[in-house]
Amino acid sequence: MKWKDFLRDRLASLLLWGIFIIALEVMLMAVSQPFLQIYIGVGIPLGFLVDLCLEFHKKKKFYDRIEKQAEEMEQAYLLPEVMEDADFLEGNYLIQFLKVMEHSMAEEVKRYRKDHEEYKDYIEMWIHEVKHPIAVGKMIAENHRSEAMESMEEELQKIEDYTEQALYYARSYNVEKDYLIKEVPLQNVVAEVLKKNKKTLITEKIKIEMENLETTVYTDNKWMEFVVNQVVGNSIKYRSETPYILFSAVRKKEQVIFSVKDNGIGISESEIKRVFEKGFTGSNGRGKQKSTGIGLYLCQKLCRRLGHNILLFSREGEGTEVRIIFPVGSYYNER
Amino acid sequence: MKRILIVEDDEKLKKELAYFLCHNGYETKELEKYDTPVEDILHCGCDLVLLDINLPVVDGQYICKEVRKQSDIPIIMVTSRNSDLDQLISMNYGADDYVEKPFHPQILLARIAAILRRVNKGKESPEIIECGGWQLDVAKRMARNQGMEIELTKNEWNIVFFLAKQKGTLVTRDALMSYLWDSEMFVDDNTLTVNVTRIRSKLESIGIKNVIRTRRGQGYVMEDKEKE
Repeated sequence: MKWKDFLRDRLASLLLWGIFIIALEVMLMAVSQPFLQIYIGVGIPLGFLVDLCLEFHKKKKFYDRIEKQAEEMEQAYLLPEVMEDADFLEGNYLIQFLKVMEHSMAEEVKRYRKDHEEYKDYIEMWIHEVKHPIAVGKMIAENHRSEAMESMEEELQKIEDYTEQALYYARSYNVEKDYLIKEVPLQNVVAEVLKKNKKTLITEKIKIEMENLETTVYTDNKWMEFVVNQVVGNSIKYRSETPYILFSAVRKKEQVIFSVKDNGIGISESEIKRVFEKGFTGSNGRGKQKSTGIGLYLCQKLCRRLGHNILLFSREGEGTEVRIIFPVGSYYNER
Repeated sequence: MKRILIVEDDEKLKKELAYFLCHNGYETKELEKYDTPVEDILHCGCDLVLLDINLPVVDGQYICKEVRKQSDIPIIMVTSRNSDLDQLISMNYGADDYVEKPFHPQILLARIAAILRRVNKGKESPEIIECGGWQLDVAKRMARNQGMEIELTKNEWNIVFFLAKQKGTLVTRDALMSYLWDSEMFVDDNTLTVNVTRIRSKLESIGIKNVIRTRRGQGYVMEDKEKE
């Protein structure tokens, strides 16, 4: 709270008093009453000023404290909980109302949070349930090999992929930590993803190259597999005539850069900035290949939660490269 | 023949799993009741247990822990829960491996084979595959013919091994590649051709000729009998 603002707030009352005193002074001058003249001209303004100072001090103390608390608190909406009583009337009224407001809001937030948690739990449970029939379906397809079953298996694989996406979507919103960071060779992650996609990769004759994948990073295995699977899925979807995918890793002083590079159809310059947006389907995604606009969005979200960075470079007609950057902390190096 | 005990409460999956494993050279036994699973597993006389985590009466992880206290029988946990933490718990309870639903049947098969191989290491004499006049030494990854030996690289070995297991029948390029990929060798078409050529010349150098035949556009056949 500043003097200037405080005074401006009191401007009307100050002016009114000013005019009143000057008028009195003029009248007193006419009846020549020097003593009263001094009393009114000096005493009253002085008293007024002292009163003003006291009020300003009181309010300044109160509001400054709130301001400081608001800055320090992470959840500013809990402010009324920590406010101390004011030593003036309106301040106490204010606190009272704020407390009522805060309570009702806390209730509301709690209700939404609970709903959200329940919904998330339901989704996770549902996903685990649905995996069972998928497993049975795959088993049946394997046991009764035929052309129809092969095609059925492909569809089952798609269902599985979408299910997986839903699971990680639910998890990406989770507040608590449900991942496990450990040292993982990138090779393992890539191998799992390639095995998962081997059918398409082999039949579509997509060439696979790997460089330096013995490099290890600190990450959650499952989450990383999911992320790389999304990226590889895109490389497969938007492949060119003679497709290849190159997986490579570079260890720098402070980071490991893992790159997945393809020679696919690429992304136009105008769209490249938006690829990580939720629900964004570029002209590629709206074309003959269907896209949900969730894949890369989720990748970025999961990477951020794990403390990795994900970048995408692309040129239309030349290919796309996705880089995942794993910071290497000195903590790990010292071990 | 190795016997596998299937502990799975879903009838349909149990049936399909049994069918699948039977057709891939295993004998299977299924658990019908789940009131005393630990005792049933301990007294089943099987070589490996496929254990589902979500079971009606007792939790699979608990069963695993209890069984492990008394027996070293290999256990593969099957689960639809998918997180590193679950995996960690299962492994800590003494499971030998862990597969997630929906698993790929062939990968399940590969894992079963791997565990059985590991368990039986040392117990059985090193396996030799007889290929009609010449042999494959599984332990040493070598081809042998009349006292001559040649070492094969990992890639080459896997190709020869897969062909030899199905000798006399056509193995499609896709099936062969799919097998190699499962063993984490992500070869492409050209690499496969190059590898097969190299294998041929290696085998020829120890006097094994014309055993791998190419069927144009289809795949390879390993001859059942050596034809000179």
